[in-house]
Amino acid sequence: MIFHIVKRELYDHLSSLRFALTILLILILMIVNAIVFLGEYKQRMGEYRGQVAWSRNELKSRCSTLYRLTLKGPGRLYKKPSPLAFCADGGEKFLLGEVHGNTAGRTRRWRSDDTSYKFTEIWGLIYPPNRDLLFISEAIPKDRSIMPDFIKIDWGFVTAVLLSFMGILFTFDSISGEQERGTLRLMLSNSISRNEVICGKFLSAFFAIAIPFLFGTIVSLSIIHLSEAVQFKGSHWVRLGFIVCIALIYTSIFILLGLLVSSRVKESSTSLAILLLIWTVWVVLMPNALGSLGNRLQSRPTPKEFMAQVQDSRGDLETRYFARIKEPPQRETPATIATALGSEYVNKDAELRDRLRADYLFAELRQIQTARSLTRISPAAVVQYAFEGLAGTGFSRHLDFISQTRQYAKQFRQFLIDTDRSDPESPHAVGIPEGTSQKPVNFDAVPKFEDQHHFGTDLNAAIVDLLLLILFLLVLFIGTFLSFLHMEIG
Amino acid sequence: MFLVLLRREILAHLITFRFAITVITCLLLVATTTFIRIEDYEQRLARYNTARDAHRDELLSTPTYSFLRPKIERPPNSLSIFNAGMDNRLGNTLRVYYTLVPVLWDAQAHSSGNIFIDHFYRIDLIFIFQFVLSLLALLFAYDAIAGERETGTMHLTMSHPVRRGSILAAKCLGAMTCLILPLIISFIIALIWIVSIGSIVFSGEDFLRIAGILLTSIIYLSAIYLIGLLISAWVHRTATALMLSLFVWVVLVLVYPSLSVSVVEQLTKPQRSKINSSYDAMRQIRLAVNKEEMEYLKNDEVEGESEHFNLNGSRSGLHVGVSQKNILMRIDFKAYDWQQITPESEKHVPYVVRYHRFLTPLRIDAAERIGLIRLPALEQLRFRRARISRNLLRLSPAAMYNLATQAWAGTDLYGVVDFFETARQYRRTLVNYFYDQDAFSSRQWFASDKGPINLDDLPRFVYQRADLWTNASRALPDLQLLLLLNVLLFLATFAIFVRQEI
Repeated sequence: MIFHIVKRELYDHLSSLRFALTILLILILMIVNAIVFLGEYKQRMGEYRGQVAWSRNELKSRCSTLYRLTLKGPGRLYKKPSPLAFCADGGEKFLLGEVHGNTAGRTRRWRSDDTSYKFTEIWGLIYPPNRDLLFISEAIPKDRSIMPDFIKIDWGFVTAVLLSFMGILFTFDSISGEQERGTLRLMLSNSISRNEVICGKFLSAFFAIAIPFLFGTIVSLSIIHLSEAVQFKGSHWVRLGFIVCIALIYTSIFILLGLLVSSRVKESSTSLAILLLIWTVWVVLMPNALGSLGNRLQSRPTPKEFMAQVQDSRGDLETRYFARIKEPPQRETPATIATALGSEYVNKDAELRDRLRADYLFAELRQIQTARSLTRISPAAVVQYAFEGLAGTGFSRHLDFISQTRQYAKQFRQFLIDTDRSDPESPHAVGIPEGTSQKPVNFDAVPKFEDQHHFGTDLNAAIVDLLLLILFLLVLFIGTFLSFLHMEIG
Repeated sequence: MFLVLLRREILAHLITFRFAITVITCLLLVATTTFIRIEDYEQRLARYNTARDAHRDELLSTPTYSFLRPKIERPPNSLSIFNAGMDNRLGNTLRVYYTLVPVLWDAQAHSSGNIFIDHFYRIDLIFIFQFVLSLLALLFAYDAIAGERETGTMHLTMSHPVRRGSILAAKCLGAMTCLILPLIISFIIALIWIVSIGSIVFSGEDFLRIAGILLTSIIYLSAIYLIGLLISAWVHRTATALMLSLFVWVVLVLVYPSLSVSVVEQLTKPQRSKINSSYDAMRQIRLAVNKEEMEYLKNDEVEGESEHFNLNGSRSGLHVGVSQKNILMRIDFKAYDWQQITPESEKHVPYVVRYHRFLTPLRIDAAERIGLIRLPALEQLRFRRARISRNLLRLSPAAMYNLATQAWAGTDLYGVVDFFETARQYRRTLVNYFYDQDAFSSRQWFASDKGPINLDDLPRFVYQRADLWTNASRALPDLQLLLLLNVLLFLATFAIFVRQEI
């Protein structure tokens, strides 16, 4: 029996104006999205390859001696663009796309009665200033766009805004409308249970929206796949599968919401007004309003305070060590006490800079984190974040990139120490010219950074959002079901 | 008869459930948003004040004339509560060098906080009206004609001696009255909140600007209502009218603006060749100055090619040599400060004076010529794209509404660009000040050993936002288009309605 209900309702939907409009709108958006993405991806990938090659060359030129490598560091580390950016753009252009493993090359002078020595700071991770961290140098912002800004069109937008809207449009009159016309009473006078009616209505609306969406995704994917600019691997298809599933779960939430309101309200025009308001507030306004609170709830030190803090801490470290150094470092094996202390100082200083910079960066990222947590009240924001996570773009991917560079920095430091250990003539005090091996470094042995997109990490980032969506779904499902069972049909 | 119709329309709208619930939601949202925006404005104002004071202190401690490079600040716009626009997206702090004619991209942002958050989560009052009230307008409109035809009341009305024109006019006026009501209440709530906070003081002109924003909002809502009415007159069934108008709403308000901007961004790439040729032309000018300098140093009577002319003593200096190809920027700024000059090398001082007297005007002149290349080039490269997308956006009334209210509030692109125009004038004033003080040929250009310079009569930077009329004239194109759209839609609806058989 439920099959009949689904069939009847689905026929109704498929022949309706709203279905035609839905399919048209989704198709146009998906095609434009695919074309725009192809252009952008080619450009971004080209840039990325050029940058990585350039950075490798730089690294090669630094391999002449171990000290030079210790001083200059691994150079710039770049973030790899995601081939699935058409699913969710994630505001990549506002997040930094590179981390520098460099040094500013500043020196500190140690003085004694008649001698002096210059310590040069060694490499550390620098998170280049994005637009409002302009304190490190008088840097000029990369690209201050003056284009009018609107939301980027991607699968996330199509899902979060359009599919939810369709969900409402297909269901607002499905119960109240039938009640108005009296057909609901007629149907229930047959031997159909209410469960079957509600399930039938849900399924038919679900298929009526899923069909245009799946159609759109297939068209969009074929355009991207046939252009051969992007090579999808197995894991990409799994990600895409997850993304489509999430989109469908999200759509179901709004279908259930529509059925719930429709069963509570007598007239379909009232039900529509209520639903549209819920939709505008929940989908469009709430994420924006709550997100803006993000940088008010979490504060972070101003650039000035940060600079003062850095200077203080580094000054402390300097005085502590300089008091203990009694003579200038000299090249002797094994290392003299002064050489060992000097090397320890330079390394501690690099560590300190790393830590302070990371703290500052994470204070900024925490604000974004707060904004995102707050906005998760709205399923539209949740679905956007889940898409970003799975597509390998946006904030969670960014955090992953940062942690990869930090891992790499550790690995690189270890490599420097190991290389130095393997040289018997070195005094083994890496960090100052007198204490470091003087042999050239084999470029092939130097660890190289490559940004990796790990499916596991990305899925991990998306799993909370996925669970939240399922929670929304369950709550609404129970609500709708109970509401319909207790409904009085007049 | 018209009045009877009008009264009936208004009453019919006012007692509906959708009216009540929309108004309540709208007012709640307006209150929340006003709160968020006021907070944001106050924070930005506090930052502006600290930054301005810090810059003043820094300026007053300038040792020599050549070190003068005042930093100026763009104050936040209090009307950004209504429409935030570009006010906190674009740069708001700028260093004025006499060797660089500043443009928009030279500025930095000490910004409102977190650029990522600012970009992704934006909300202001216009945003709410644009979404919530326009939906209400459509809900009023979709069954206005089609619904009455279905229920048969239209037939009944027609049996009275009343013209169709007045029926239509009564419908429009009635619905608009019911739409304007929540709009005005929202404005009043927002204004009461803002004024009672006390930290934001609106001038008389500001109130007129707010009135302009209110007027634009009314015209926008009426355009959306008329779109609904046209569909309602054209289509026979209410359900169809509803579907069509909701789809039109989604496309016009949400989809089209995003779509057109991303397409323009994709299709109009900045031309590399143009950047390169302009950059080369700028480099030529720079090289010519360097050559002059080398020649001067070679031909003078002092040994060696140093710009310090064998002066001895203690000095500090500053050399800013930033070069950014994508925004065609090149600063070459050198500052000198001899805190102490030994008596033996005192005899070299006249040479240094002569050197600066010769060279600094050349540098200023070169900077101005570079500015003449740079401004039009950037105008073509960047503003053109923004302008194209702006023009394309004019197909959507919602986008037009947004742009027009930005113009009223002065938070649009041109409102921000005004600041840089003032900055360029200020740079001119600064250069004139140098000439008046005869600064290049004075010892204090490069040395502070005889005491720091006296900056009491240095002209201060004052930024006045564009006056009301400029704002109005910037809002006018969009406003006119919206009005035209209203007239066209009304005529079309009328034409369809008159010919229809009831």
